[in-house]
Amino acid sequence: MTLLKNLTLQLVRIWHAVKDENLHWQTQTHPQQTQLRQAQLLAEHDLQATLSKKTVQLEHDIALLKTRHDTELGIYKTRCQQDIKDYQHYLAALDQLKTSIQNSYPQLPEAVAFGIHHHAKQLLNRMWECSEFEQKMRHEMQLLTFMSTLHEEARLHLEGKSEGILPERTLDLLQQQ
Amino acid sequence: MIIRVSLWLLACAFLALLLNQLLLWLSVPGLPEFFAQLSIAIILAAFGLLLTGGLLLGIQLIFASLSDYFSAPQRSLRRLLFILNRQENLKQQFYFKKLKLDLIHEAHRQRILKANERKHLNALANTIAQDLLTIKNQVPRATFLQLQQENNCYRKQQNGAALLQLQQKIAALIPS
Repeated sequence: MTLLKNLTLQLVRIWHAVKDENLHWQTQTHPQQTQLRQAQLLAEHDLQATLSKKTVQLEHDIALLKTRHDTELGIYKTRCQQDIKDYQHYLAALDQLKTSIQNSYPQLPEAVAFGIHHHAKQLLNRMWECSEFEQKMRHEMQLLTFMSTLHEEARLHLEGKSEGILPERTLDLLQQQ
Repeated sequence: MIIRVSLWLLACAFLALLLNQLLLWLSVPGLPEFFAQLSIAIILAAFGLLLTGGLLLGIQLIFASLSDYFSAPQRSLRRLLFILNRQENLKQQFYFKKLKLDLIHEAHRQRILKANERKHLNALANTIAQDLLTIKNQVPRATFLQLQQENNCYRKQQNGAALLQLQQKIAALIPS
């Protein structure tokens, strides 16, 4: 019984010794611990300040970016709408061309007039859908040459200066391509 | 510390079991059973201590991580990341809005082109119909009806090449 009591008391003493040692260590290192905690708090505060500044700057950037995007999209939309109007004008010009051929060459079959108009429309679409600038210019040149040849022939025929009942040069151009 | 205590308790339990075996070998009456029960109790205590320590440590870790998550730097960092994400989204949105504008205008252009095509093909079909009427009395009725049907069919299909061929066919039938 006393053995057990002694053993228990010994254990309790060991436990208290451990706690005393811990308390002694804590008291000794108290200044360093406070310093560490202060440094940690300062670092956290600095980090939070940097992050808040970055956030504000980023929000400002986003507002600017949004305005710039809106403006660019507005300009792009206007440009696309203008392109569509140009396309409609081109088509109207081709329709006028067909009417002028039909008026200049009254004996011209409808099929030939349709074929010429269809070819001109093909050239226009090829030019419009081309993505490379050089190729686009080349196609536009082809279309303008075609239209000018046709106009010229129609004018000459109306003035009675050309012979034949068909626009020969235009049909040759059609055959070439 | 807790692990050390648990291991000591386990050692004590094994000791008690050894004593139990010794006393059984020495055929002592009441003690072996007591030591056996004591060793079981000590093992239970050791593992109970280990588990409780583990649980408490777990709870402590959870609280520490929660307090870190809701701390000011982490909140600011999350806000910053959210805003960065919003900037990326804006850039993507711009690209897709531009693409949408492209598609809309391309579709508009195609509609205009199709309407123009329809107008001219209808004009061609009308001319073909007029030509057919001129040769109505010169061809058999069946041929006339068939040609008329072909004209209507190709007009509905908006088939330009077929209409041109049809006109050539009719032009061949027209007496010069």
